[in-house]
Amino acid sequence: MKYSLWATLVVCSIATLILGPTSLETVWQGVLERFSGTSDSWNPLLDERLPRLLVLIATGASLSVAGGVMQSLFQNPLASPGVLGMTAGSSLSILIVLITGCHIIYPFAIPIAAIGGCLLTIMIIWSLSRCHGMYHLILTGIALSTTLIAIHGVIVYALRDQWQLMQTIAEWEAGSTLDRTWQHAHMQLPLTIIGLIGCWRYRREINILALGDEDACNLGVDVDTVRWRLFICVALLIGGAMAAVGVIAFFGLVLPHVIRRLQGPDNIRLIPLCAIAGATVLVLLDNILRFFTIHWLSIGNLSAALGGIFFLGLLVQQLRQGATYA
Amino acid sequence: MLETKNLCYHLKNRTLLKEISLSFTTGKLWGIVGLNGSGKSTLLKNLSGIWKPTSGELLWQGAPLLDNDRRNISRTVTLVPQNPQIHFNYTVDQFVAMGRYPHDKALHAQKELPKVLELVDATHLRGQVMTQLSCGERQRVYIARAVLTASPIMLFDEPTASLDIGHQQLIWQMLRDLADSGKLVIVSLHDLMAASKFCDEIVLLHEGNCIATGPFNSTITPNRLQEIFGINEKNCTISPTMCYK
Repeated sequence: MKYSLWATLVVCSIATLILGPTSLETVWQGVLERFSGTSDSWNPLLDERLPRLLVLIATGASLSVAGGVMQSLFQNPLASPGVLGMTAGSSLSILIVLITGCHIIYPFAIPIAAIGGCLLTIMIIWSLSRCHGMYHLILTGIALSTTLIAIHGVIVYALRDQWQLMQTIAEWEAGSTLDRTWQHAHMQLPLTIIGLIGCWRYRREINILALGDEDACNLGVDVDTVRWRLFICVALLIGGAMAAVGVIAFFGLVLPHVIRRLQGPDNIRLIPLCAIAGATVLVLLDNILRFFTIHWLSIGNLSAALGGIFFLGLLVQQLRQGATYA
Repeated sequence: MLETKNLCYHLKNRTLLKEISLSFTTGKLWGIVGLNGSGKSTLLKNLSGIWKPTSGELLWQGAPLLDNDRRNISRTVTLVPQNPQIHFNYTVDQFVAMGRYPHDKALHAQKELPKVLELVDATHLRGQVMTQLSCGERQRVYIARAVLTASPIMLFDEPTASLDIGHQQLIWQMLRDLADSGKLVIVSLHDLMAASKFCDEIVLLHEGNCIATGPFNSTITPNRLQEIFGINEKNCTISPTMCYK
């Protein structure tokens, strides 16, 4: 599975780099001129497709790994940053930044707000429900997520007359990869790398935490310290992805769930597979949109629709087989 | 020796353990008995450091056990919980290998795995997933994991509750062997016959208090059976104290 995913990712990445209206010869000529120093003009491969590819890979890997880690941490295969309200918290923070216009002066205000929103949400959820078990925690997450989405909706409705702002918000909410530049890549890549390294560093602890807090403590895991470090890693991953691409629903829930069913719950295998699968699927979806020139659909719309249908099918199949969680 | 000095544990305005002072000597099999809700599991969780005592001291070889970091504590003491629940499809091998986590970061303990699984008659479960095991099978795998941890203090919360009679015998013999090898083995249980047959020392708990401690004969007396368990030995078809007479 790992090798076929790698192969698909390489093929899709090459497709992302070569697909486009400008002829390959012109693009290649521009690349050669750039590297020989004879020309400094804009090049579609170096200035548009490459940063876009990096953003896609980082976003797919981030969302998928964050989802897998959260599912293990909350001992629930249906937990995800979306379900637990982290995405909603991050989304509301970014909305406030977009409205206040801070991002024009300080472009890094968006990822900082995204990470801050994520962490603040999980801190509120954790402080409200930590003594009442995981079931209560997920319900608290859903309740807080609904509240944050409602506040988001109220703000957007109140500002509906500001067309330019509405367009920016709509594009961002739809999870768009249009016009992604090196600025987006620079903004996201460090966050993704730190987040992924952090999750990988604690892969064995995540396995043990999936057994429950008391058993993890019994086995020697410093539960609170490790959990908060992992929350920070997840916030970096989600914050980076939200800041660079926008809202991509269902991605953090469906992919880790499917991979866990296929390959088992061991995070030593799960984390790398989630990263590669997430990157591959997002790059593949982007290629589909670009190849068929579907301008009315964003990558966020497509992944949410496909993810939702796929997940529904999976649940129906599970119910028919009388199976429990993977 | 594991000592508790005036150990108390409160949970939401309820006092679950009251001033427990005990000295558990190594190389013995200790049984903790008492009614439901008497504090047996709470005492085990406090002894393992999973629940922090509200007040009092917990000393191992004269030094405070809970002053160590969590990994060191788990190297010293391990607990087999009661009715463990598991949500993910770990295989038996993956699960048992986690027992080595306190000792090193590499979870692979492939050499020791077959031995500990054989001890609890779970060799045939290798490769199966934990969520598909029966309660008794899961219980045995948890015991195998604890044995793999190889800590000097081993705590078992009703280890034979879900087991058939043959496996009960097997596990009791294994616990006996562990105690004879110099480990401190503490077991909470309801089966007074098993307590009388296998345990060297008994701790009798009632409403969070330690009522008595010592050999079975001196701890579980007819008076205490009547007062605490509500059992009148004369009217009882199978007397819990019969087996040692």
